[in-house]
Amino acid sequence: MMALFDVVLVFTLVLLAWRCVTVTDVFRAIVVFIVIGLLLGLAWARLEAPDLALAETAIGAGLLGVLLLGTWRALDAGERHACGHHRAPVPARWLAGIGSAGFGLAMLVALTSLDGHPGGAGELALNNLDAAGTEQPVTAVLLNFRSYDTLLEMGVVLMALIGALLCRAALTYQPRAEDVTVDTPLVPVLVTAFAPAVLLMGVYLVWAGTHSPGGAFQGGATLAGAGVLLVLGGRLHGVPHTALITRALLILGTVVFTAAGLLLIPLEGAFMAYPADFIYPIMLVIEYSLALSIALSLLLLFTGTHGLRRGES
Amino acid sequence: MGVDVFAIAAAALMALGFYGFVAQPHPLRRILAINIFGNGVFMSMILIARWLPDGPDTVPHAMVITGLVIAVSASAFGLALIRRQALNRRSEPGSTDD
Repeated sequence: MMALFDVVLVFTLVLLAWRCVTVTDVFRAIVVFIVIGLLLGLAWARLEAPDLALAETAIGAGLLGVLLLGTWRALDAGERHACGHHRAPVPARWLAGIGSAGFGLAMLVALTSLDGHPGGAGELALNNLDAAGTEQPVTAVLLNFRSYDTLLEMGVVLMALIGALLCRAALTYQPRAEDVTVDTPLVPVLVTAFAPAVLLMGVYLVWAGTHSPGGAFQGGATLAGAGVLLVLGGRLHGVPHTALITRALLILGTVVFTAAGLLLIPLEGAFMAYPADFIYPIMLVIEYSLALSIALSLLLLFTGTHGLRRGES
Repeated sequence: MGVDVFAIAAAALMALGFYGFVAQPHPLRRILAINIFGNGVFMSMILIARWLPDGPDTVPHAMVITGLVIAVSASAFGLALIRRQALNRRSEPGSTDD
């Protein structure tokens, strides 16, 4: 039964990916891409990766979809369609098609012919789970065993945000009429009803990361989703300057993570080694500060502005 | 052992992403194509993670989460570049899009 489900899921995924790269309309391609993200979440759940399923639906499908649609709206009609109609010339497309098919076949052969050599890092991580301060292995790997990765990742997110804001510094931010006025009374009501629930879900997901699927990234993305909801409903507005508190929150994750690593060097003798007695609270503090920074970074990537303020309504 | 259907999906996503990147010159479409390719790579990593006998290997899972967040950040940066390019084009009326 589940095998049939997998086949249908994979077939749909491949079909949608084909549609996404071949359909002429850019808007349709974006919508198909969002659906692919949701189905991928389902596929991750089938592949025993619930953390990834959460992350994919929240970040990959949800936030990236919102960002793509926002960019699409910012382009004018000519830019939306002009390039769509003159695709690469036919011989080049054939060549690309043959090349991609060959590449795909090679990847398939590689993926099926590799024989599993389990062990190494994965087994080491599972065997040392007790030392990590969290019962959830993925969170343990992210925040403890491979904490350098996560620290540098926070740096990448921050750099992407700074880059995006620098690119758009020339755009004088003026909320357009359709941004502010909401033409249906349903939207403010729905925002009022959903935003607290989504916020609560985000906070819970971060906390859940210590013992079950969830974590700073999934929770942070959900919090950012609540922020997107508030911006779209007119409760939050982007402003072109950064308040000190915004900057502080943006770097909070990186600073707390680094500080926790550095301050404990005298005790433990190594960077990012945590004392076993206090490891759970340390993990929790790091996780929440990471989630806050991620949420605010993603939200500012969506609004494309340097700061936020509360709306009048 | 037969061919895992998800291995087919991973290979197909990578191939289609690559094809889309070459065949569709629209910058937004290219970002979509890169992300489809990336999803194929993530799927192969998750397949490799299933080799561990006692439960899935969490190290590739954590790497994929890191990768996802970085992919979205990089895409957001790319989207900001697209907006800026559109703005520049609009401010010089003589230019045509290429």
